[in-house]
Amino acid sequence: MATPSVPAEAALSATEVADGIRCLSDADILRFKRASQYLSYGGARPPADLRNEAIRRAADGTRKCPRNLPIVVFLFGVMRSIASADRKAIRRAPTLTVVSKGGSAASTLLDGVDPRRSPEDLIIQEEQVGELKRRVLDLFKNDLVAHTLAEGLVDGIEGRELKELVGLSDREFATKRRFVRRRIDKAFPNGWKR
Amino acid sequence: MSEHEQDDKKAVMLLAEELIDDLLQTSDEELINEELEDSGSVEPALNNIRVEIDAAINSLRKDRLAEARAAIARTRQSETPPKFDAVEIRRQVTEILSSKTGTTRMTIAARNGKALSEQEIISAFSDLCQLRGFGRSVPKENYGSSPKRSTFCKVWELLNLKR
Repeated sequence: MATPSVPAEAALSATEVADGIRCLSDADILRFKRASQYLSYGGARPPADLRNEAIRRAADGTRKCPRNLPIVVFLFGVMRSIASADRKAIRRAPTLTVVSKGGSAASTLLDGVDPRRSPEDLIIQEEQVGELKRRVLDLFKNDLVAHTLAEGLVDGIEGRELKELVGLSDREFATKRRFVRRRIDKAFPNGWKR
Repeated sequence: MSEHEQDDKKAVMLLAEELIDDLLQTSDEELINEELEDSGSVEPALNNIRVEIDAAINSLRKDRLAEARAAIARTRQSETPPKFDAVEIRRQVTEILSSKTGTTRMTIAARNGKALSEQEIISAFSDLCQLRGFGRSVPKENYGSSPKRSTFCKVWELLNLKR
C-alpha cells in the first residue's frame, strides 16, 4: 500500500516524524518489529534493514506522514513499499562494475559474473516462497479450522466469506486469527528466514 | 515467473497483510504479554529496536552534516577570489578618508593623534574583502558609534557596489 501524496500542511514535518518514532510506545515498537519480519520475504531485505531504511525515509521527509495517521501505521506503509521495491528490483537490477582504464587489454575485459539473478537463482527464490507457504500451512495440519482459516488467508478470501467458510462468529473468527498469528510468531521468531 | 509462482508470492503477501492487520487489532497489553510469553522479557526486544531507531536517526543527521560540508566545499571551490585593482582601491580609500564632509572624515583625535598608515588601510580593506567573500548571508557589520564607523561603512558600500 503506497502512501498517497499528502499536502504539506496535512503532513507531519520530518522533525515531528523523527520525534514520533522516538516516542513510539512499547507495544508499537513490538508491532514495528513483527511487521518488519512479516514483510521480509521473497527477495526483500532482512527485517532489521527494512526497519532501518523505513526510519530513515520517514525521518528525512522522503515519505510524508499524514497528521491523522499513527506513526507506526505510517512505518508499516514505508516498509511495505521498500520490501515491494526490493522484490521487484532483485529480478532486474544489474550492478555497476568498475573496469580499470589502464593495464593490459585482458584486464579491461569484462569477464565478471553477471550480477543479475540467474534463472536458477530466481527459481530457487520462488521455490522458497512456495516452501514458506507450505511450511505455514503445515503448522495447522492438526487443526482443521485453523488450517482452513490459514489457507483462506493466503488465498486472499475476504473476511466475511472466510468467516462463512470456516463457520465462525466474528468473535470466534478474531480469536482463531489471533491463534494463527501466534503460532506463526512462535514458529518463525526471527522472521520467515530460518 | 510462472502463474503458480506468482500465486505463491501473492499468498505470502496476503498472509503478511493479515498478520499485520491482526497486530493492529491486538491490544497493547496483549502484545506485551505475548512478548513476555515468547521471550520471558520485553526489555531486550524494546531496547534493541530503540537502539536501531536512534542509530537510524543519528545516521541521518551525520549524512546531512556531511552533505552540508560537501556543499560548502563545493561552493568554496567554485568561488573565485575577488580581484581588485590595488591602485584603484588605494585611490578610492584615500578619497573617502580625505573627504571634506565632517561625518566621513577620520579625525586624528579619534586615533590618538596618529593617522592611519597605509598598512592599516590595506589591512582593513583586506578584512572587508574577506568578509565579502562569505557573500550573501553575511549582514553588514555593526561598527557601533566609533569615529571610524562612517568610514568603514563607506568602504563597505563601495565594496558591495563593486560586486
